[in-house]
Amino acid sequence: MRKAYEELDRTARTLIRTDYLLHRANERFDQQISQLHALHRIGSTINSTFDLELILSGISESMAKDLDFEKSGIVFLDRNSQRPLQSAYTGFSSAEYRLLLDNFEELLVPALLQEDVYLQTSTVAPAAWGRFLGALSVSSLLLMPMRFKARLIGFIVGARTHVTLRLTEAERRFYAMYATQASSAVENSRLYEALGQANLTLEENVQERTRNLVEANERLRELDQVKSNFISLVSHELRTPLTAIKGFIVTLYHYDKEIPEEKRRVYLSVLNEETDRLTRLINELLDISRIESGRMEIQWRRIAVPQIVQRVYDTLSVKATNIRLIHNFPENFPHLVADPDKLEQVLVNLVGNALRYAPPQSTIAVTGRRANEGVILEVKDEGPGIAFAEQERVFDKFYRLDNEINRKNPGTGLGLPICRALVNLHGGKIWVESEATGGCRFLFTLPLNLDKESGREADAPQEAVS
Amino acid sequence: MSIEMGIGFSFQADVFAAGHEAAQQAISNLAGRRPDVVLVFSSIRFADPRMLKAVRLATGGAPLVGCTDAGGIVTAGPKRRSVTVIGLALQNGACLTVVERQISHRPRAAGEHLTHDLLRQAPKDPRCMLVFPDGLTVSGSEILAGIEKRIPRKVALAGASAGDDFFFQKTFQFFDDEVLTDSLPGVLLCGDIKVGIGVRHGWVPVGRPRRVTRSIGHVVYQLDHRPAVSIYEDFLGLKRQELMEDTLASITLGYPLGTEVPGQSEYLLRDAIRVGRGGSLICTGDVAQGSQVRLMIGGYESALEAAQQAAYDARDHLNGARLKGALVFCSVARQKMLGSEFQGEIDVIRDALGGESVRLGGFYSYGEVAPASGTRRKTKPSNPLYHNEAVVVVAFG
Repeated sequence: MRKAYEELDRTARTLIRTDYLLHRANERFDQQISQLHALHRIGSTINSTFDLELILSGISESMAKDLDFEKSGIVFLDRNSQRPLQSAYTGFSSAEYRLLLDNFEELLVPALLQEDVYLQTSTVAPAAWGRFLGALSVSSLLLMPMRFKARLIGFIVGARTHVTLRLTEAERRFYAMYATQASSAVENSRLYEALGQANLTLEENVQERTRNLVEANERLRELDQVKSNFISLVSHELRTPLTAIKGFIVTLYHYDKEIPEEKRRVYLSVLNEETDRLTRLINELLDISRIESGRMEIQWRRIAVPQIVQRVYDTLSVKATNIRLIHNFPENFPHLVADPDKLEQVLVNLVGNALRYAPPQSTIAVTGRRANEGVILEVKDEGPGIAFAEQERVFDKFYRLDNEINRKNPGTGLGLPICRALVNLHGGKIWVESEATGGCRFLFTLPLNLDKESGREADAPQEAVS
Repeated sequence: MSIEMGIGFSFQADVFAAGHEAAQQAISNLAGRRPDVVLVFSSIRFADPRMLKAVRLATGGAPLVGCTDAGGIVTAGPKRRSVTVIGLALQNGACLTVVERQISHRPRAAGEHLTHDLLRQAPKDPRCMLVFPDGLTVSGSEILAGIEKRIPRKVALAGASAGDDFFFQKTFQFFDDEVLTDSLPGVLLCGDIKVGIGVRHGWVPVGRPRRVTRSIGHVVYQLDHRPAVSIYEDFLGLKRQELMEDTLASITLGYPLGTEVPGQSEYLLRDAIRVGRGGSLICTGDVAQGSQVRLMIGGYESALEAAQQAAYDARDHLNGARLKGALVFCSVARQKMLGSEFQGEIDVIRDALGGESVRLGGFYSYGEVAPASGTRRKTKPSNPLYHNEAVVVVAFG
């Protein structure tokens, strides 16, 4: 009987051991299946979107729903500073979560660098961790670093009030897989965003370039129009003296013998004048073209303006028989740096114009004074003046005032545009002031331009002329 | 209609949202009737006052009792990691709730006091008392001994001990807005209600019997004059150290100790949850010194048969009244033993009670409270017992 009892017990032992092992194996399978389910669920949640915020909250919620963590969170680190940038959490109070992030440098980072899955439990934790876990009201805390190509991009945290003393190898493997899954979702979303941003930038660039091209095209069209206008104007302007010249030459050629000597001399003098005018016109056209194409070079020299004015008066004095030419410069009038030839050209033009309109016995005055950063020069006559409406137009190419003097003795219509261009090249401005009742003042500013001096001393600057 | 049951559950990540969702479902199940009492069973993750607050808000502040579990049970089947909310609405009835705190110092007095308090307030016809004690801090048998001193025979007693998702560390009890531990919440249903209870386990003995040579309450020191834990060392082939390191409960749940109880057709089972000093076994219920125990083993078929039988017993005890719904308290050991097939057990119970239209609600527990099993119809209800590894079906009609 006793023997039968013992046999019964032995059979029972075999039965129970087999049953126990089978159940253990079964449990492991079940656990793995449920872990795979969790991985699948988190995968389908976070891979259905590229929105980082949704991914983070999806992972945090999955930690709670699928993995039983009472308190969980996920933190995405800033690429450069390696500090928490964006995060989501479930179960933690906001104060607890702040506390968690406050201990990022001191406790979390060393733990994250240490292991792939880091578990800390209050019963065996070092003092600092013990206090930390206590403050979070949890007993165990699990940290899973998220890495992308070995770089730490964030971490997942899960905590429980119940004690988890250790993790089995299988659990460690699972959590590592879980973190990998999360990492790739987060990194994909980040890359997607970066790609989107790049696309956007590309789009913007293309649009901007297109805009620039359209504008450039528009400018080209305008320039083309200006050029056409200019060419038609120029051909017209050139034809006028040429027609006159041709007419007189034909007359002289055909009726050479019949033309009395005095008339012949008149004809020849007209021919001479018209040829001069043609030459002047061509020279000025060349000037304009050089200026407009940016080929006009300025020879920066240190100059004394009164000297130049004097030179201009000397050149023009022959034409100024009945006119007084005066200039008026204060003693402290500064030297400035400019192209002496160009400045002379401007003054010749302005004084020359003044001479054409100056009534006999009148005065033409060139005055200089300091102003702001440079000087103002003024050429004043006592002629008929310019109507307000025409004051700006006189600087247009080929614009000519319609009056008796001009009809008798036409200019080229390029003098003032050239003046404006030359003054502008110096960084100055030119304009005209006039009362309808008479008198006309052309004013222009010139900066001192002292920084532009090329170093070579030009005209003796020390001589002061007044 | 005398009693209506509304069931809801939720898995939501946010505990407040989960409480709200589960309660809303329970309410809509009740077709607009306000619940007189709300039973809440949840995973430990939801043991949070915010969850209870959400339930209370959604149920109009109805009295609330419940506890943490190792899985919830709803009509559709078992649900892990969830909140289960069961709303009970009584017609011409009343519900009373009471909680006893810090019961580990005085489990028997707590049981007695709870019963006294509930019955004292009962306006009329007390019918059914449900208790959800902390099963880890005290012996369930002690609490029952206290309850038994005060409970009249006509009041059916059932319930189950709280769980903690297989951690076997700390369970929580719910009472209104509070999350408690080491407590005993109870509810008394009064009025025109029919209650039928069935309890079974289906485990069978293996090996020869051993005599309990020394035990005090729920601590078994010696079996056949050897340290009690040696029975597991022998049978499982594990070292004592291994049994102490791993949660003993997770190993021994499959192989409880069983004692014969007069008046009960099945052995009464005892789970050993911890190894104590000198190799003693700490159980969730008492094991009498001098009694004989045997190691028990469960099997898939016998477990399902037992569940079916428990459901039939519960239905039969309604004495022909129409079934309105049933509470199911199922041992965590059954979930573990059945593994991935644990849904099958709830299907069997639902089918035995009448199929898809039957409403079920309950949870997976660490100990079950019910009268001794196998009592025949029309006989007086037998003494309540603290069971392990059992499934309890409480049918309402």
